[in-house]
Amino acid sequence: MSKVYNWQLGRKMKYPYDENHPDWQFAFVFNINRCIACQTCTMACKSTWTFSKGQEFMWWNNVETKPYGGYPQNWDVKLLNMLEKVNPDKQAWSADKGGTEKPYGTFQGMTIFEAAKKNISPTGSQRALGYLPTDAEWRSPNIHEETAAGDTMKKGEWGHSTQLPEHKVWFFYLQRLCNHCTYPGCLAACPRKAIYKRPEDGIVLIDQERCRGYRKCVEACPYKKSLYRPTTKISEKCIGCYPRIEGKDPTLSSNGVPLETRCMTACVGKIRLQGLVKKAPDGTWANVPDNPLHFLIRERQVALPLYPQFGTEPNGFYIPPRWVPRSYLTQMFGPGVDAAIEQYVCPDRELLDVLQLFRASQQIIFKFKIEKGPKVAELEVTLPSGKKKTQEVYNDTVIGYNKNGKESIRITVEEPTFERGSEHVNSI
Amino acid sequence: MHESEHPKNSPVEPEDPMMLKAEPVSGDPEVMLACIVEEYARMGWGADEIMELFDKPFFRATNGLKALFGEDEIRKRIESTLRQCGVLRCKETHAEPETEV
Repeated sequence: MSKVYNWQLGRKMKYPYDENHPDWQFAFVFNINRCIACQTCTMACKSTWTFSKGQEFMWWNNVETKPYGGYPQNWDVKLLNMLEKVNPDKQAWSADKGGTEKPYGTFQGMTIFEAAKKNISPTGSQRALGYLPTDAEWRSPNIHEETAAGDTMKKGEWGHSTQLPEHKVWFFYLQRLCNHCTYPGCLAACPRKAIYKRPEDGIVLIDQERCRGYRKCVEACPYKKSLYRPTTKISEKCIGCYPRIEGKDPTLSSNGVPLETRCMTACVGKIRLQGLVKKAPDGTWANVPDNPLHFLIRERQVALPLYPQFGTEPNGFYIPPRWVPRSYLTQMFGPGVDAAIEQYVCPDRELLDVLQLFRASQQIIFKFKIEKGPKVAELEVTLPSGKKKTQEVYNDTVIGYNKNGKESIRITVEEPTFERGSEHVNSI
Repeated sequence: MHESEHPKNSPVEPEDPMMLKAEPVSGDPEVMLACIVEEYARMGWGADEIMELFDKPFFRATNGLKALFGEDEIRKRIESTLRQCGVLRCKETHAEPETEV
């Protein structure tokens, strides 16, 4: 096992291969606060890549309901339980946050790679701790997830029914696809060395000719985003819509500029921003403060990785939903949750401007610039702590540039309007 | 073959997938409602547009909140939130497609 540096854990960790980083890394930010689970992203992906025989239950992109749902069912709870069993009461973070080296502190527990060596089964140890979901768990991506919002049944309406604990209706939607991890569990586990990260953009692919369908990747991917296709007897996964990333879509990208993936561009709720971040030779993120992803993830830390404690250094990041209990969110996104939400609820001038870039253009935005304007409003915002704060809104214009350095989109924040309530006679 | 005990009387297996398990997770639907309304106000949606999210049964989260609070209450809360946070307006200008020389 090699020792590799995982910035999300704030420390080195064991991994089966040496560090070998791409020039650019595919990454994305999802703003969970705005998702209403319309599933347009899911269908955009499905209708593009997984509409064939044997792919019926294959959803490279899915949107699941938390805290109940998961595709496959309970994927995260199962793995968290396995880790807890191997390393009881020690899956914790220290609070020594500092700089780019350890932005969330240090994870003191075990990753899936480290825990695998302590979990010896009759067939030996795994390369990454994981499990193979049953067919039933894959069968339906959203089964029974939102029953809490269904019609109310009267007590005792069903004979011999079970009385469940009362649960108030709240949940949030979690959008998921392959995280194109820096240290992929699937790649580590593949006995055929059929899985690789592309040096040009860090997209993780399965070589369909080398794969023999042993399903070790399905077992090892902590996010369960490597899927087995029974008709071809090999595994498949999200390919990051790489023809679009390469700018080779002849209809939409005649000038060769990279485009966001299908699932990203289809998002009607404007919750998604995807792009490429420049990697430094040592594998860290190059300091490019005017890249919108770098700004949101590294500089402001308003977007956080999903289950960073698994140790794969995922490249998908989430702005956490602000109505959800913090302990739940901290388990899911690590210790940066409080600071991220605090910033997001009352965004400063620059953050508010950059947030407007979500789903503004199909072209990947490599750089943004802000043209400053006068102050147009002051809004009173209630922070999660209950304190009041004043948010200043400026008539700024944020400009997004594509890979060629050409302007792709220009968004101007205008003065907010205030709608009068229906109690006013002259209201519409 | 004769089983001494009928299966329905035998104890539930610990790993029985059909066994009903439920545990409440603390959370507040009122905060959820206020946050969702504010999010869409920040995207430039007015009260009527936001109300549609609650009316349509396809959006289970928002429609579930309407079932919980009732239509009048939802409308009242949307208007009250918009009065406080306002509706953020943005003007988008897309660049002309680059033409090949």
